[in-house]
Amino acid sequence: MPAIVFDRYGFTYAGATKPSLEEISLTIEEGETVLLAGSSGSGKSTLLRSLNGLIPHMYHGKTLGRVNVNGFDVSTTSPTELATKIGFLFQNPENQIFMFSVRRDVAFGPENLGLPQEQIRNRVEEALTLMNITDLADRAPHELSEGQKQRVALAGVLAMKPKILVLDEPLSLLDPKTAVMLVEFLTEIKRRMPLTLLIVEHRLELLANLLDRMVVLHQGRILGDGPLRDVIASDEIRPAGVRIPAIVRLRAMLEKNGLRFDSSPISTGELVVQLGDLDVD
Amino acid sequence: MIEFSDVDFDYPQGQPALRDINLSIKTGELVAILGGNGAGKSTLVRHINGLLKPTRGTVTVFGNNTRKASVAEISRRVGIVFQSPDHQLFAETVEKEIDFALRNFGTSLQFRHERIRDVLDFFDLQKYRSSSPLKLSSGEKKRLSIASIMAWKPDILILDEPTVGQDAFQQDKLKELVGLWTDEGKTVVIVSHDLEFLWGLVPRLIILSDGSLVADGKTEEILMKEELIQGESLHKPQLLDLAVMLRGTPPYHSFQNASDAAKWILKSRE
Amino acid sequence: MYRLAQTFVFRRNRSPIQRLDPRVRLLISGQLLILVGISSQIHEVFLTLTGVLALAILAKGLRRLANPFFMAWLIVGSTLIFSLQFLLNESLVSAVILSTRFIAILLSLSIFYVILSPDEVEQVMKSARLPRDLVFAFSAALRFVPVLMLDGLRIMDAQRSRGLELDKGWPSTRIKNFIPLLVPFIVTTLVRSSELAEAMEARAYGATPNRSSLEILRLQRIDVLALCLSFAIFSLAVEFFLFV
Repeated sequence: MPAIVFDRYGFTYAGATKPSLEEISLTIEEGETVLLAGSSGSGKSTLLRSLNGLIPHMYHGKTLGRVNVNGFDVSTTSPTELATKIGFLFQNPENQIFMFSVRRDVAFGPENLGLPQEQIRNRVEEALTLMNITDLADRAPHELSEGQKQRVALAGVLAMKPKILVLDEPLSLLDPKTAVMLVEFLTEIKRRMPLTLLIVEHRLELLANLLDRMVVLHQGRILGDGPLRDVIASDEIRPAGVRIPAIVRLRAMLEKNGLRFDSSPISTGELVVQLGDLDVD
Repeated sequence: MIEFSDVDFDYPQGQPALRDINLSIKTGELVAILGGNGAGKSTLVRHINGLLKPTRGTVTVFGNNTRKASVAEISRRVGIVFQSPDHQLFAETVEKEIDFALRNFGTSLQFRHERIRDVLDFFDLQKYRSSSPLKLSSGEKKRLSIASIMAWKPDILILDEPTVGQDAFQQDKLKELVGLWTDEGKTVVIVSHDLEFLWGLVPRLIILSDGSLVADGKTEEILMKEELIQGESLHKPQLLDLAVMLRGTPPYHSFQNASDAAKWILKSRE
Repeated sequence: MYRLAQTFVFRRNRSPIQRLDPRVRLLISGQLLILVGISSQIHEVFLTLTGVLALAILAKGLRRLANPFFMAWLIVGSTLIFSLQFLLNESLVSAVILSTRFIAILLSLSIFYVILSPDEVEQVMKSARLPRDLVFAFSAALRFVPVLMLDGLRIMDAQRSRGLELDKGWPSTRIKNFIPLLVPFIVTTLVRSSELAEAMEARAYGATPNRSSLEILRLQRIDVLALCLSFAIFSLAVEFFLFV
């Protein structure tokens, strides 16, 4: 069963004249890691809200087509039930830590589900260990750095044991050091459990090795969808304003001047290896 | 001209935020300040227009000690664009939002009209002139917040994390703005983590760590200091990385942009 | 402003008092407050004041009470009461009693704050079976006080950097000067609360009416012991103050 299915989906917010999403058809298989790109106003947030049921249960409007998450139709499943299937890490970790101690905050979700105390304790320990923050368990939110807050927020999401994890611009507020650490964490989590990841992010240089696939949204429609290296190199996605890594731009210039590449490099290392192969020809 | 000499700053509850900062930025320079979250970047920036005064040492801007002038007086020549537009947008219309500072600084009516028109044109916001700033998208809000600062033509323009949430077109626009300022001989200070954006744009880097200045110099030279950039977990920008892989360690004029690199590669294959 | 924001930040410390059940702590500080209320003689007032200070020391909270803001209030208030009482009654003793009682009341009130962290207040509320939404609203409000104050500071910085001068002009312009601060503050608070609501929803808030809990308050032997001890002292003191 696919993790996420959008079937000719469209949504117009109540009171809006233009639809925010139109004709979205997208299937994400279990275990895939997908980058969702697009500028502000492209429909990204609407798409995310359509996954955890905030649309149509909290934000109202006109819906076309359907969205399925883990086989559940979002329009007939309550957001609280969806919360156990799809976890959300929002952009600002500050606004998703509710409690005064890290431990109690991580317990927030399982408590809401009414789990027995013993199970809550296990889930909390598990999530804290997974995020490597057992030493922060008794801290208060204001005693945490920006990167730590984000790990706490992520632990709180993982304690819900979701099969799908959505990360909304997880790197935008982080300095390079913590950004690298987060990417390493995600790689590690992916290795340990079969999570489906959907990541919204502009700084894709850092994520390149983690990603399988890239979907580009522009003015409410899908402009590109496919393997990351192919999509990022294609001319069709230019209007979306996605920032193209320097190496990809360089390859395009070299191709214009007659050099041919077998695949589309995205990192410096990949380009240099391919340049070396070209030498042999 | 910005001059920090022996500046320490402690927050009232005692935690030190800046230690022994000595720094000089000349008129017309373009510099970037890097450093981890909590390294003291925003504390440092707030010293330039006098929002914070040093605990020890002095900060002078165009020869004036910031202790002896009001924030409003200094801000006439120092414009800071803060990270979150939500912290500043308040007026009924986009036009009035831009006019706010122009009125506060007592500029002439003609100057106000001219500048409002110019900055709205520059950021393609003319169509929103009479709409509420709160109705704009997040990208447009960011542009409006920048426009409302560049409106009064400050001699020093400080941009705090300007690329966050901005698409490629807006980032190009930002580069254009930076060019506009430096062409007029004005100073620009950019606080950012985004080395891919800064590469080829900013000739000088300043790196803060735990409130101390750990590096200050030419962008390329600083990014070649392996120990330093590993300590800060900075990634070399792709083009510098490529230059090192293909040509070894500088000194040489490395690739400032993709077409520099393309020319060199094509030439080396002839 | 920054100082003020800091006072609302709770610091956790590990003291013998903090190891007791929060309900027991609440009772002890409540008992002290009652004692302050009923003490009328000078030695009684000093006795209860000693009790309050002893509790503060046990809770390692003395430094926190010695917050400059709080101290200033304390000194100004007690001096005022002292001099007023002295002038009106011309009695040194009653002036001392009244101002010391004022100090003792303020101290015992603020001890609530030193020995109970906000999430413990929330636990106590929960164990008193108050409605879930009310308890959550209360703790979330406390949690976000320092965050909102920092927002306020950032807004002030942004507007002052655009030439806003708060302390300039006639009173009418001064009131108008607050609009550029107020509007962004309301907007950021609204944005925060809607993001908060989304995040709560995403973590299944309200999924079941029978919300369970990671930590359930249970009285330990040490709590019972502390409770007995404090009640013994309390009843002794009440008897001593009222009937001896």
